[in-house]
Amino acid sequence: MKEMHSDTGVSILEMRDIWKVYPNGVIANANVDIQVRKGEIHALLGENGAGKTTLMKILFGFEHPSSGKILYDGKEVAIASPHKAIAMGIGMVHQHFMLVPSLTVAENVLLGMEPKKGLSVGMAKAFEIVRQAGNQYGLSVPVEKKIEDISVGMRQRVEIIKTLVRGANLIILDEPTAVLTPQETVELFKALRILVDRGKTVIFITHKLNEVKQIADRITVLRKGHVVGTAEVKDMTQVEMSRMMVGRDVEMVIEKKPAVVGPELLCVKKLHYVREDKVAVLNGVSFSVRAGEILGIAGVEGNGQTELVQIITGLLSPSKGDIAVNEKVMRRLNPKTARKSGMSHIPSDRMVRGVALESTVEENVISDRYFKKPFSAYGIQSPRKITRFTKGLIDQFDIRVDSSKRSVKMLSGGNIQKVVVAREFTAGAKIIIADQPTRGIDVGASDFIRRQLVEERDQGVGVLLISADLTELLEVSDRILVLYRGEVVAHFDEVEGLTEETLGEYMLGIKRMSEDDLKGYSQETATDKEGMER
Amino acid sequence: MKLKFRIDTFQLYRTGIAIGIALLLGYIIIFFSKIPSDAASLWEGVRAGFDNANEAFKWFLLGPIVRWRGNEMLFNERGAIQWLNESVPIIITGLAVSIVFSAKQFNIGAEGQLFMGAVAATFVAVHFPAIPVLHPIVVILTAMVTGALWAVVPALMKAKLKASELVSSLMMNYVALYMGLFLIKTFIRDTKAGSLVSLPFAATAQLPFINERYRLHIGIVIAVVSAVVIWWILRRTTWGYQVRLIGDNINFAQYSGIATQSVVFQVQVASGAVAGMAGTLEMIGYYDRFLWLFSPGYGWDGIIIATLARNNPLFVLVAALFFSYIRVGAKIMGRNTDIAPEIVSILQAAIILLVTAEAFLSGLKQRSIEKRARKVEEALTGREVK
Repeated sequence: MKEMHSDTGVSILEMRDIWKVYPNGVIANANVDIQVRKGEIHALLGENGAGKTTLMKILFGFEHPSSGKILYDGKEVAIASPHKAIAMGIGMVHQHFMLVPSLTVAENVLLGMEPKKGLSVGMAKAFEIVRQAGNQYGLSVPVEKKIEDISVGMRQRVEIIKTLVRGANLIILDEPTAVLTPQETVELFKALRILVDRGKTVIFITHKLNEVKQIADRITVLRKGHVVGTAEVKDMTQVEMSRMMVGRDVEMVIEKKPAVVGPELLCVKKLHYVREDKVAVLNGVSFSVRAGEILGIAGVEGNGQTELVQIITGLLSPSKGDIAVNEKVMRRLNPKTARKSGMSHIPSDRMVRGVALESTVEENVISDRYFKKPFSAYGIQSPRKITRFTKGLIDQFDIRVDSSKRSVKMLSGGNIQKVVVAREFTAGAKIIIADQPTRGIDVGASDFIRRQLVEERDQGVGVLLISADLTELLEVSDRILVLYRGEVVAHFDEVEGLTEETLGEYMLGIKRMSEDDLKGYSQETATDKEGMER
Repeated sequence: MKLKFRIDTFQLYRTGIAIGIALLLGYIIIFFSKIPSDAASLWEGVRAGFDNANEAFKWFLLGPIVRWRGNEMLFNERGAIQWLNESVPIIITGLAVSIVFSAKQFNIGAEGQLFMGAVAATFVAVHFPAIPVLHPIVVILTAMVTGALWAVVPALMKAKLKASELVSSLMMNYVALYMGLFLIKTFIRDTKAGSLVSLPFAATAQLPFINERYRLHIGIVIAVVSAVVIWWILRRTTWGYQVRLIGDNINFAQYSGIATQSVVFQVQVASGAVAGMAGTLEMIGYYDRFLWLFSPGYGWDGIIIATLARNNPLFVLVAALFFSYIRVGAKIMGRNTDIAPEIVSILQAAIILLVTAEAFLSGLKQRSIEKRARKVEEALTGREVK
């Protein structure tokens, strides 16, 4: 099969000498050439920030290249908008799905092209169209269900069907496995194989080498906006690929001393949270974090992690339940009191909450301590001391920036995260809440941050780590909880020997531990419930 | 990727080009309106148009600082002083607005705040014991406190009821106008005067003069000092830091532990206090009684100026002086030619539109960024780049 494709070698797409310079001066793509053959799965491999997504956004008409040529089916084309791209037969499945949660699968797929029956939409026909489209490619979906009621893996299928129904021949998948459990990933790969067997072409953006090995025919590796090379996957080892991607050998194993556990620092007691739309997002979550340990929380995104972190850090008030810090129940918990009590927080949405983009690195690293000495005295700032302090952090955390007075928006994603981490790790905190601390940043920076987390733990800090990256969780955590639909469904005191597949089963709700196994980690027991009613 | 690029220089060019285009526009309008309809030939008409437009622009651009005796150019003291005096209230309102804009909040209530400030100040200027030096200080403080209180209403409504400050501060302007006029009419009207004016101020309320002949008062000094002080507060104090951080990203400020709600409230009140003194300085400096029948419009000018100055208090100074210069120039042009000085409004509008239009010249900027980026790239890789 593979041979046949590479022998024919008819290219469906060529991008030549593509340049993209963003308005802040960042070169996302420089001199990029890429050629994709008809009927192959072409992996676009590179670290976060290497320019993969930008390149694909250019192809899909979301961004316009500064210069360069695009040839589709042998003809030079100008792709002014996604509309144009779709009309040409290019489809894209974004990292963040673009679906309407309150509409059904069929409605989402056919949005804007619904079959008409008089003035109303012919629902029966719609269901049929979508069902058929799915079956044709081995992508069965519950067409009558609402998007909000189906799993992430299903939603992704819906996105793929959406592109197929619109006549896509070339389908771009932007890090499709980032949100999937190991089981769902297997399903996705099966579907992709069927797609190419039926003559479609797939571009697969990723930074995970094992996936490339499993699914792709050829790869193009990007590094810092440049193409490092294109190759047949079968000719490459994972080590070779990683060297191309990172430019050096990466040593990924983190040395960890056994945890020396101290007193309980953070205690979450029977936390409930009901969202505005009456959905119960957290249902009696309890756990505690002790000094000198890292507690990892696993779970498919959207199972209550976001709310849990926001409640602990005082950004959100729980519907019910308590947070205790140092065995003291926090009555008026807000970001200020949380920080005062010795908590620091690496937020998952760093652009929204982690930094102020227009402000300088200096202004960003002192945001929680600007009022303290030596940063200010009597309400007047001490610019020289702030600069000196910031320069220290830039060195210590290896932030790549030429001046401490540069505005943060000029930095790359990994370096922005280092700014956040530098601030939160130097706050003198006893508890660190690290929410997706390495999401979307390059391998070097991720590795650095994980090591810092372990180091903090060795210093006796209690760390709560929420991560969608199971490899990271297993590597860094001392204990792991699994959150499913706002409940703790599994708890592992021992991470040794635990596999991603096992975690995946609990994350998908296929398995759950019994009340006894969970000990104090489940929702209320019967007696508790009585107590509450009284 | 290191990129030493001064985006600020670009903003400077952009503003300069916007002003240039606006002036050109003004010139073209005057040119066409001044082609005599009874010209002997088209050529004659065009020449007359140019002559007239040149004459008008001479007054407009040089009038505020130059007067002519025959062909001799002399310093126009009266014009220059008028220029400085007229810039005082709009510097102050520009500062007031730039404070709230720094926190990305809105204040379109400056107009009402300065109006009420002036009304309250009038009572103090007329009735307060005539103690020299102290009297004008008390008058100004009264105006500031009143302006602040006037700003408290929308700020409170925003904090407690989540009412848009945009609407409420706008509404407060009308309340200020009619309530202010009512207060003046009822309690402090000079019945001997022909129109609706207040009783004359006590002589001790008068701000000291720098030049008594043309009534250059120390308002301009107060305005300049205010600009420097406000710049310092915003740039160098922890309070100013909070304000700017909120302006950049309020979610981040909150996450960092800053009491955002209370800072936002303080910002509105501080802005009201500054706005409060805008009209009062003019009133006790240049005039000697309350004589507004309408809202003077300085609050709106403040929004324009703060926008043009990109909320930097020091640039507010420059922008306000510029605006007052072209206004005085237009008035002088109006006196010496038959062109309506209102043409200056067209210029103002054109400048603001071009400066605030993000896309204006952004292609130029993007190209220069790309050029630099490629140069850096070439230096790094040693490869030739097209």
